Amino acid sequence: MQLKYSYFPGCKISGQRTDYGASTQTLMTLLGIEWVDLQFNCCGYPIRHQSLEASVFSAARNMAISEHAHLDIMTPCKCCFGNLKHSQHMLKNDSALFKRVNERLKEEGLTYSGSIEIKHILNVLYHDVGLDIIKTRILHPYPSTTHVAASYGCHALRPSEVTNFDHPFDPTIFENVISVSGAQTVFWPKRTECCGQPVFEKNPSLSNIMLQSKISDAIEAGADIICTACTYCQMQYDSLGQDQLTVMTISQLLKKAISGN
Amino acid sequence: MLKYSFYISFAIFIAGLIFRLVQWIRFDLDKESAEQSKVKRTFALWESLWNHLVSAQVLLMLKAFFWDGLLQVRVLKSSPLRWLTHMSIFWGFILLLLFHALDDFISVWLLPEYASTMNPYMFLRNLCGVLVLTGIFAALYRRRKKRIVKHISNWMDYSVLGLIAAIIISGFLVESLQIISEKQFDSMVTDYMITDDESEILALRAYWAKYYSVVFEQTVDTSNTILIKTGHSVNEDSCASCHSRPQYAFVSFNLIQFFAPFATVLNALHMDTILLIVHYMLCFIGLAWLPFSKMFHMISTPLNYCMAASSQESKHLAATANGKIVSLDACTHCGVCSEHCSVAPIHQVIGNDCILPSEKIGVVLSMAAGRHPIVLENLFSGNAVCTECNQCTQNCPSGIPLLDIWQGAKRELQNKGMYLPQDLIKSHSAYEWSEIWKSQKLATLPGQSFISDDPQTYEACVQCSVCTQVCPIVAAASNSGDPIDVTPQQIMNLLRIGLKDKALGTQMVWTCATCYMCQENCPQHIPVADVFYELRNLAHAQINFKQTGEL
Repeated sequence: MQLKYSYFPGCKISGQRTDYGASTQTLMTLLGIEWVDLQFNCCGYPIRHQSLEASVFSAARNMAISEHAHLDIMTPCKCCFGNLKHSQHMLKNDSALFKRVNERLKEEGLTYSGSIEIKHILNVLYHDVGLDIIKTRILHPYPSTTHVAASYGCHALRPSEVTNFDHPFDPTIFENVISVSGAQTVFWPKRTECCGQPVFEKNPSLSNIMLQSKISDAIEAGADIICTACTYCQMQYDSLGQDQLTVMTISQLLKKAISGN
Repeated sequence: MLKYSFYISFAIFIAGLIFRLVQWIRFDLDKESAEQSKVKRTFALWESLWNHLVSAQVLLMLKAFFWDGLLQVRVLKSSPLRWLTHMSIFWGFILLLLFHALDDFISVWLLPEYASTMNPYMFLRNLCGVLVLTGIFAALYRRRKKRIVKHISNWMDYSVLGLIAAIIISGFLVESLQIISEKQFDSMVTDYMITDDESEILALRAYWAKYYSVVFEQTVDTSNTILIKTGHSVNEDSCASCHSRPQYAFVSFNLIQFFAPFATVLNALHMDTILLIVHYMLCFIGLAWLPFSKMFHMISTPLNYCMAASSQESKHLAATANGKIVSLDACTHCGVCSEHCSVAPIHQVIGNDCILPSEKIGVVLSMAAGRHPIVLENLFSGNAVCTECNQCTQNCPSGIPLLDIWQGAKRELQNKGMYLPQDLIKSHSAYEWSEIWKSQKLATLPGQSFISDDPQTYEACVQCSVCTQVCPIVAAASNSGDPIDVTPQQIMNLLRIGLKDKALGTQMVWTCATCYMCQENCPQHIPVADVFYELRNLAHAQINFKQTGEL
């Protein structure tokens, strides 16, 4: 079966971190995943503090556009993923909201019905492509002496009844995907905790404390690399953590194991 | 009269140009710009104009000018259809301006045996007119049809399109009325006929009535073949060297059939002369208005391309300050940025026009002008919604560095004493906020239903404090030596006993990292994080409800 998705990079990738986007696209090409670029807008995550209504509408518009193209959405950002899932959940359970959103969408000739799935890149790699297939493509595996700490990212994991991503307290999907690359994964207690990015602007020193406690936890567990699967997490580690140990996205990690660079 | 009207409009045009040039020096987009002395900036602008228009980097400039200015490749990249529209208007109008309006200075010298009444010039003039009108129609269609562009289109956009259309339409009308005009015929006969033989003139009248569509008050016999034959030879001798048959002016010629029935009345009223004056006047209005209207982009946009393409402006601080204002002036209000804006759907819900880049840019210009209207607060809150996805900059056909402008404006407005809600909230304790808000009307969020108002939401809370124990903000705050004001569990308690107003301004609610640890771990399944989101929504509305200046 040909895998095909609409690719949802998210604002941070298209605006500032184009390198993360490029590695995601390269990985998709290497794995034979097809994708299309649609005229997406913001996922609605940043505005959710200010207006839930605007956040849900923003997410719904993206989903309506992808519905129109009959494609599931695939995103490399867990905050985008989490907000799209959350909005999907809200729209399913609040009929008045569903009606208001569709009235607004109608102004552009769009409709939202909820017929497509929202997938994070880890979902796609694990469930749709399959680890066995990825394994056959790994030509430059990491030595088993490389220890990788998977940094889960909050908004994909929780609230679990909304995101349905993995077990909220004992997730395994990220470690399983990393293992394919030949590297060892380590268990670290803070792997499912917040990286501190959401408070980076509001309270930088608090944000830094949160990040440092994660990094020292990963180092204590013996990690050489922290692996992320979220643009915001990666930005947070990049801003403060890169001199203590290497931090890379899952697409950068796998791309290297497949193509050697 | 026409001569003086032209002088007046030309004087206004020149004054307007100077006015805009002075603005480039006078306005300060940011603090760094304001620090540059005006004398320095005047020299820098002079240097920029000299560099870009005359000397050193002439090759680079020529490339930018031809590629982006004349061929408008950036518009083509953003939308081929819009490019076709703009090219039709631009080239149609420019060709008419050079070869028709300024024909005494250009066409006469460049073109072999040029006469405005000869083909192919009649055909080409009509073709250009049709091009412009088609472009204007397409532009109007786009402005009425596309949701966001329709929303942002203002009187300036429509009146510029209207003025250009009026110039072209009046031109067509003048031409067709001149074709049928008996007076024009008579005056030409007086001026150019070699003989004054009455019978020859009569023959020419018949010939021109038949083949040149002139409408005479007294009916002329056009069926008399001998008369027509004589008319033909007179025409060959005296007229044909300067006059092609009118059907080549395909638009004006086809308009004749609408006027033919009233031709004698129109001729008697000197309608062709009146319309000619209208046509001229509209052109003069356009000329005088150009520096003050969005048509000024004909000058500012190519200059912006050139300044962006050269290294001069990035090295020289005073030149950078000028360049920033030039780039603001380069906006054509085409709305492409707003069409690509990632947060445009948020504008659809919240409704602050300053969320849309095409609208923000005008307000930023008024900020640079030193005006401090209320609208700056809208700019600040609208700008705060921007996710910096950079789509506006990448798609701007005028090459304006929009994202840089938004980031600069954010800093500027913060320097002017404006605060984001998340920073403003720190200025008072939760208790003080509740006192402040007690005296005002409560803001409402229409349509939204609130789980925080439903007692069942917290009914099951047993105050076990699991939410507080797993909260990374609570932990990090106590590690920092500055513990959080109220814990999640305490907020649940405040809400449970109906003290929602005391919860709205707490640091806990506003510093929440939205990691959902509390909610996921709650043994009683209370949606703690969702409630926090809701409280922030309400507090946001409350803060925006009361203008920041009043606090």
